Amino acid sequence: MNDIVDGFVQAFQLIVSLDPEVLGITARSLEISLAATLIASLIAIPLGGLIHFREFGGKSGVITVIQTLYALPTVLAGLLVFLLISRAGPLGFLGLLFTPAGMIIGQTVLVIPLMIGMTLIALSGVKKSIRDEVVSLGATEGQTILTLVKEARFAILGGIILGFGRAISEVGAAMMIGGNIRGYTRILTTAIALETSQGNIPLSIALGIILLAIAMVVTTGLYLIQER
Amino acid sequence: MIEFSHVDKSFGEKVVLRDLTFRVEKGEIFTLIGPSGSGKSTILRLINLLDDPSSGTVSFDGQDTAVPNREKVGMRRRMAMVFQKPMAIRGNVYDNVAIGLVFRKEKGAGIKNRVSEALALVGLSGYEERKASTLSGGELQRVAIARALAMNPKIMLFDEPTSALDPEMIKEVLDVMLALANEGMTMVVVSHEMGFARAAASRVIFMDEGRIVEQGQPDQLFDAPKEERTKIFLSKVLQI
Ligand SMILES: Nc1ncnc2c1ncn2[C@@H]1O[C@H](COP(=O)(O)OP(=O)(O)O)[C@@H](O)[C@H]1O
Ligand SMILES: [Mg+2]
Repeated sequence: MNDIVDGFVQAFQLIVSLDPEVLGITARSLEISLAATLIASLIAIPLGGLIHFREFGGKSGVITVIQTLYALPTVLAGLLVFLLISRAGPLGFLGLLFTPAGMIIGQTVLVIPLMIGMTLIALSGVKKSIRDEVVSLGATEGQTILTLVKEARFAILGGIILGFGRAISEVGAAMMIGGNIRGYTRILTTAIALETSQGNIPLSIALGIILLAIAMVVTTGLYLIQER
Repeated sequence: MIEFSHVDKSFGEKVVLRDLTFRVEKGEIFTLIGPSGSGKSTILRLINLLDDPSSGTVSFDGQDTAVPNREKVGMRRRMAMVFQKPMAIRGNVYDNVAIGLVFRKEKGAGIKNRVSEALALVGLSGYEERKASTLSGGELQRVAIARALAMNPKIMLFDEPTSALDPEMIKEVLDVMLALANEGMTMVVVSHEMGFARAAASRVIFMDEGRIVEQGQPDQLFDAPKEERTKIFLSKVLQI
């Protein structure tokens, strides 16, 4: 019991004293997950728009697969990207394994299905009559998607935030692709896993508190958007 | 300008239009009347390429509208539709009127002039900065008409444009439509405003259950309908 109390006291000291290692890990976590969220948004929102607007064979099947992948196990996303970028893989020549760039790819793959799904939900919330009138006004397919994404922007922003929440809190893909190299690919989640296993409880608790704080900011952001 | 040739339209099992054949000539004010569900809006949607016929052909300017989507956009850009319940996109009145011009990638200064001209025509000069969400139903409908006018279309489609307006607004809107008609605008109008039809319509078409029951000059159709169904419908509409 004392150990735990001790752990919390030391953890607060680490945070308050702006311990360089803690700060470094936090900054890297944010960088990687924000980059992954940004890239995933740029892919998922237009793709979600196309899936929403185009009629094609197997559309409902595609949507079901996307929904299933919301819960894509992080280690499977990790495995997939690992196979792609490991030295023997098709993208092996890029040397991305055990780099932050590789981790960004892993998290991007992980959150894209969720963000496509959230985009689909957001767009289906825009009335059909608005879509008809936008098309009637002479919009191209791209202009239609852009206009309706703007109409649904708060719901879509909610999806982006959800995606970021999933990226920052995942550990499997980051561990497999990043390798948890100190000062290079070590992020909040992988550091907590490692430090806990090595008995470095205060550092784990400090990192855990920060992760929780980030999650709370994300949830609050989501709440504020839904209140609009 | 518009030609329907043996057009059928169904949604699943439901047959909405049956073997429709007619032409709308340049400069015509083609007015459609008929009970709710008779297929009037569907005709406008087919003209505007928002739906495809199930069989038969719809042509615009001598060109079959069964073309790839990219070419449909080009055809739609020569028309404008005023919907029964117009949309308001987020933003102000300017954004709402300019949107069609923005899609056409017109230049900023040109857009500004066209927007203020169009707003003047519908009696909303100076409304540019008003938030669209604060407009009344009548004002919003006028904004929708301005939005259509701003695009300088060759043909305008109206789907019961006055059915949601206050009485004094109805006259204002109909006056704008009359002025357009007098300038030679080609129009397809779904409306039960007899006054407008008598003053402007070149032809009135009475639809029922997806078919043209009867058509003719407005005075002829309203004062001396030949078909029983037309008589019954007109007596109901005129009572209101
Ligand atoms: N997208 C659609 N799916 C199924 N039924 C439709 C659709 N659009 C219209 N309909 C049906 O087609 C019929 C004609 O509709 P509409 O053209 O809107 O009639 P009107 O404008 O004359 O009232 C109605 O019975 C309507 O329910
Ligand atoms: Mg209708």
